[in-house]
Amino acid sequence: MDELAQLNSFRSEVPAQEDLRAEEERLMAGMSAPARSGFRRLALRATLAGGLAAAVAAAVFIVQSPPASVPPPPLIRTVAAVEVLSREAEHAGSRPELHPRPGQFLVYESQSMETSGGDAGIWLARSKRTIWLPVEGSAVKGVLQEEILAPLPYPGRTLPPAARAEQELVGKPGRPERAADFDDRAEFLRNDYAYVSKLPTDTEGMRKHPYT
Amino acid sequence: MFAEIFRRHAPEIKRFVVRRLGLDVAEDVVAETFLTAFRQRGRYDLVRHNALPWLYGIATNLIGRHKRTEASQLNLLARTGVDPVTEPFTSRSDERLSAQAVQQRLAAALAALPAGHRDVLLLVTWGGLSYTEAAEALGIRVGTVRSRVNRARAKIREELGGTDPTALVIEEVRHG
Repeated sequence: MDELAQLNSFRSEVPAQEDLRAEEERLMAGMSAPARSGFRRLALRATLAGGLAAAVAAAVFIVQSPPASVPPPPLIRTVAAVEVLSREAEHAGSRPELHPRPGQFLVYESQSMETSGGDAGIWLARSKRTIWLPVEGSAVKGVLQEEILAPLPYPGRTLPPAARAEQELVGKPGRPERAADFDDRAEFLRNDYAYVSKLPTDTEGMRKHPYT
Repeated sequence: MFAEIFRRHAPEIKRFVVRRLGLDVAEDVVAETFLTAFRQRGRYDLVRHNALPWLYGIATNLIGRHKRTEASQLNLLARTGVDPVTEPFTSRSDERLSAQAVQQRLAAALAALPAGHRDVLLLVTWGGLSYTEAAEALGIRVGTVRSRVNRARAKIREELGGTDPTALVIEEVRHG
């Protein structure tokens, strides 16, 4: 018996549920209730969870400053991780600390550039990415939007024809989508702000934390 | 019209919710599922579509509010072999002992899955939805459904590793 068959027989002793009088009564009551009852608000909130109705708190990390209309050729150099992290820490220190509340979203904007192509030539593909992550709860409830930016020639080369497909998408931001692929963790491994911000900030506290 | 939808689909939706959360919470979730559906009915073409995937989607979202209940019941089953969800339906004389080890491992595996993977897997197995229907129910891409089902299956397969009890004994001896 394979795992799907085993899963199908798991709890299969739960019989067909024929007695639905309680549910039907509640449904009938709800259907005839005035539209703005508390129940409706509750139901609405469930529908909108993950939507953008809540106030939005912004935390913006721009990796690269926004390009002018004709972007200058990029300066490419190898940067040690320690330098990137130091710069990030300095930058974070110069901004006011955010204290987002559950129900709000953190918005991260980033720009990236990477080499792209293959046999058809090489170029620098660039994109802008905005993700709205809920302050409390799984990142799967987040919303992600991506926008292709104009590709740049690889230093010392010309822009190959293959890069044109990207060129055509410039100025057409993708539709916002649910961040449905951000689900690589079990739910007890939380990393949302509401949870992380309550973790101990000292070594001793963190050592004890896994046992609490 | 809507009462007809309730009569036609509520028994199936309720069985699904009971299998995930148990009888106690099910009444709330089912009542709210259909109320939510009733409020959203304007956005859905009930004549042309099969309403079931849509209802399963709403129910799954509402089940998500009870993740702790679901996880603690699965964990209890994994630890003790007693399933609070099926207990009201099982007679004492039921001979399910041989299946118990498998149930405990399945419960542990389900509890350890990311919630989104568990949702998709159970819609496809217990709910009997196609990948397209599951994608429609949850508002995600079919490719995401496929990859979640594959990853969830792999994890469960791993957890069930030695479902043959004799294989388990041999392994224990070898390690012992």
